[in-house]
Amino acid sequence: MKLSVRIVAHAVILTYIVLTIEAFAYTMSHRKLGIFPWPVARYFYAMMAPYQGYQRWNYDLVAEGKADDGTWQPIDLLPYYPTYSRGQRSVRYGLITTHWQGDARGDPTLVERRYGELAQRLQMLEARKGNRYSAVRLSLDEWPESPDGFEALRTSAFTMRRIVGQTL
Amino acid sequence: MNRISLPHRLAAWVRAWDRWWMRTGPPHAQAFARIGIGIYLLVAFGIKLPAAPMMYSTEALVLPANAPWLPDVLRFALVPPPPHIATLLVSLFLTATVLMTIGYAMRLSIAVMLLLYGWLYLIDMHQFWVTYEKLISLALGILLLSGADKTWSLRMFLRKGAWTAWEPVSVLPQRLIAFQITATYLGVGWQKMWLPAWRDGDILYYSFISRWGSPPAYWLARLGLPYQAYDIMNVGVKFFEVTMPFGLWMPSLRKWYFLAGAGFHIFIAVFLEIWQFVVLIPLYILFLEPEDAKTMLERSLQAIKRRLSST
Repeated sequence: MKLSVRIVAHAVILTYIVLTIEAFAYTMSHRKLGIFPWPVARYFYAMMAPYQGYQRWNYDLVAEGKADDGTWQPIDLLPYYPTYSRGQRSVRYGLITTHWQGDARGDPTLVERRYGELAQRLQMLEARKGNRYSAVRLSLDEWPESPDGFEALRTSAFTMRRIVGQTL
Repeated sequence: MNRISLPHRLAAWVRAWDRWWMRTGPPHAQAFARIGIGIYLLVAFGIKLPAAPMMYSTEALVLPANAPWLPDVLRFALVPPPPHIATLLVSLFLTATVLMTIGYAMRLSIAVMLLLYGWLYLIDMHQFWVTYEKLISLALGILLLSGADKTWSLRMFLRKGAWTAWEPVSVLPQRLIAFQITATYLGVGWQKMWLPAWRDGDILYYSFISRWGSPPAYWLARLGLPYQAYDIMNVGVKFFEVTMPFGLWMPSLRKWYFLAGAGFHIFIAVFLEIWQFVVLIPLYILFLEPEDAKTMLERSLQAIKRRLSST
């Protein structure tokens, strides 16, 4: 192998190692060393830091469309999230990565705006299917976990609903 | 004496470092990883193909990435395509994956896969761009520059008339992927030593009855095992993950860590419905020296052939 190629290859190896050390340092201390731009270091951090915590409650995204008579009709979201496991759907319903983005960018309304976009798109897609709603709203239902099943405690007594996005 | 020996020792160390990363060797471990990743991606994206219009097109409830950093010239990628184009693009990804897996036009195929991975990220997957997606896309990027198609490939069959023909390749891609897997286990394990959530077994119990919990996990939770049982499981998980990055490199223990790793990822697939980490199991071969991997894989193939012919 040519010497120049060898030198470049070793430079890549050393960069890779330093990048991994920076990611590992953040994994262990949640402090940024600032050697590399954060989006690059974060990519490597995310490869070594899954599943850091847990919750004791479940949640589900509930979509409703406002009919001509003023009542809110339920919209089935499952067909819009095919092939995903319940966990994968849940991460999407909760816009988890958008929460992280909002925190990283110091943008506290990002999540709210993104739920608004989602509601608008859902309204348009439902209209194409012939379900013309004057508004669509998205809510998150939250209820405690139970060994008896994912939705075992999703009852009116245990469930809290909050609106997270709505079209005008 | 020490003044003389130190530079010599340093030079010897540099030579050993250079040799470890840069030497050439048989391509079998890298080829096995190529095939393993290929089969994984064929399953992962094969499942998505029939649903592509509902996942990535104008018919889908997509939420394209909020990407102010994306140059204007690439912003078209944030617009969902018509349904037939979405199906076409996922089909193209799968075609490229087949070509990579069989080892034909590997570099072009991986380049196409990475481009489409980028598009999928922008259009939808940014919402779930998790550890395994990052690991796989990085591994593809490394394989792009590798000689992983220099055995067990259509390329070698067409050139040399035998699938098993091989040419020596740089071990650098093999080392880089093995290094990244080590780093992944290192971070995953060692952060559990201080993370408050991993202090006791609660995280396992509540994960089993969470959104990730599978029917077997709910069944296990309903058994009403004492909390100490979950604490013991927690200690077991932490012991495995903390020692894994070292065990993978230790020839005397490696076999047991391979088995433990396979068991661990299968357990997660069964109980937490996160099956995607099983892609790491075939990649353990990258921890063997290339010559050892070649010997082991060839012996295994011969044993399989013998069994098949005897039956």
